[in-house]
Amino acid sequence: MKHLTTTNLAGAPKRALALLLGICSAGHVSAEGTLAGTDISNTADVSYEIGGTAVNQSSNTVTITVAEVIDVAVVLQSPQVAVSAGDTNEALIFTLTNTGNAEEAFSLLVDNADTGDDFDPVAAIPNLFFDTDASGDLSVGDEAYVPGSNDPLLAADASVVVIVVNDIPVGLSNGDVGRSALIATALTGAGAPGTIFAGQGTGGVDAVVGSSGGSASAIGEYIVSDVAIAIDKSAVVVDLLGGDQPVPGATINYTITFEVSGTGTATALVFRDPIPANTTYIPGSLTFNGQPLTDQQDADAGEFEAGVIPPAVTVQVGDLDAAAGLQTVRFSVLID
Amino acid sequence: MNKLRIAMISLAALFTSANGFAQDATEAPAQRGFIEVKTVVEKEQRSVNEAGDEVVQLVTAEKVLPGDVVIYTVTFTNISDEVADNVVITNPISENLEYVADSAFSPGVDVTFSVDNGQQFDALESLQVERDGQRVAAAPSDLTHIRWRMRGELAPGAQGFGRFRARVE
Repeated sequence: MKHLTTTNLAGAPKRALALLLGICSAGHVSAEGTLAGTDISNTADVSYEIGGTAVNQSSNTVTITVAEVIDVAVVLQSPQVAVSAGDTNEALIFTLTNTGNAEEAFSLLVDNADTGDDFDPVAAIPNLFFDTDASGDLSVGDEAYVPGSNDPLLAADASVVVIVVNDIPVGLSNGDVGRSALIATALTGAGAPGTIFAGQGTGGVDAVVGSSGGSASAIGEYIVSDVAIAIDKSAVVVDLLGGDQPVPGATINYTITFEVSGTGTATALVFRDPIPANTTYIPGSLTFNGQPLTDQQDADAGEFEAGVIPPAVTVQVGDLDAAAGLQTVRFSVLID
Repeated sequence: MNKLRIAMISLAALFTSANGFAQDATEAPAQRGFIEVKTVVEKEQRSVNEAGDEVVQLVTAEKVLPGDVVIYTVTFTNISDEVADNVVITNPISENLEYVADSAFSPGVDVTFSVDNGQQFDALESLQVERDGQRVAAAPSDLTHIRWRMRGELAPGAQGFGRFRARVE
């Protein structure tokens, strides 16, 4: 016995809407499924035999309509941003994603008044931008956010990169942390999950506040990470008679120690010390943290630059932070 | 005279029947036949009663949210005076719905499913779909149709039903 295949009258295809506003797609936040306004219709078919005759007929059709869920997610993209006191226009990068199931506009707000941090960043003017040129950071072409004028309108699942820009106050200490939060709120409405905005959803369906409460925020951090390097140089003279007189023929043994303090990292640090006038570098005398270094420019970090005036010893130290501790360079010269 | 009266009564009965449909104007009406088949869709509404206990009621579903579970019930009644055999109810599972595993319930009925838009039906555990180039066991989200087949006959006046739950995607 043959059966009719049944009608399947579901309306809009799943997640059909792509992106609005020239926006990147959502990365790690998933939206809430079937688009608002979708009608899901159902008709059952029945087939049977009665009195030897095969009969097919359909049931009534029942239709349910998917209401709008208002949901939003804000995710911080920047790692902790290292700053110095008095810096201006320091950017924090966020993504705002419409995790609801309908197009929705959002208002944006920055809150710098966190009480759990060491300082309050000062909002730049303007302090909110869209990453219009998709550079991933604040740049000249980025459009400033104007509340009520260009509130981001996002399709379900779509997201937009938002840049929060702050200045850093003066008078801060190393390691001080300042927090800045981006808050996005659905324009249709926010409130306790389950709050209904009757008829205010896309296409006139009800809009219901989802688990986010229709508002989301994320907090970015600045850390004051100044770097200071302390250097100490000492010299010991050994003359030919075993004394310590700086006379011709005597050797001067130099010891230079340096270390980094502060929360930052001194990058690509190079130690360089000119050989004093009227002295001659003693070949092969250069050491770094007790390890001998050759005088040639080669695989090791040290070099004696004989061809420059005055000649100098250099050590390519590289990146150095406070945890590395005291560094020691030694070399010797002969008094001419 | 008598015959005319009977004819008038019949006409009145027909009118009543037509009015009955008119009241259901929002729904496409069921086709009339020897078996009356009616679909309802409901959802669970949870509330707390005066005693502080959670009560779950089935209420007619009109507006739903993604994640809501809806319950479809198809009721079929033999309204003729003859026995119906091989009664088979076929119901689509919309692409926006995901069948809730093991929720198809129906007494005296064999339940089968389709993953190919109603072309073939089989037990869920026997169905396969192609995923990433491999034939794998079908998941509830792959189902396109559910079918209930009565094992016995449906006597005049007898009623049966099939029911399943689905989650709005």
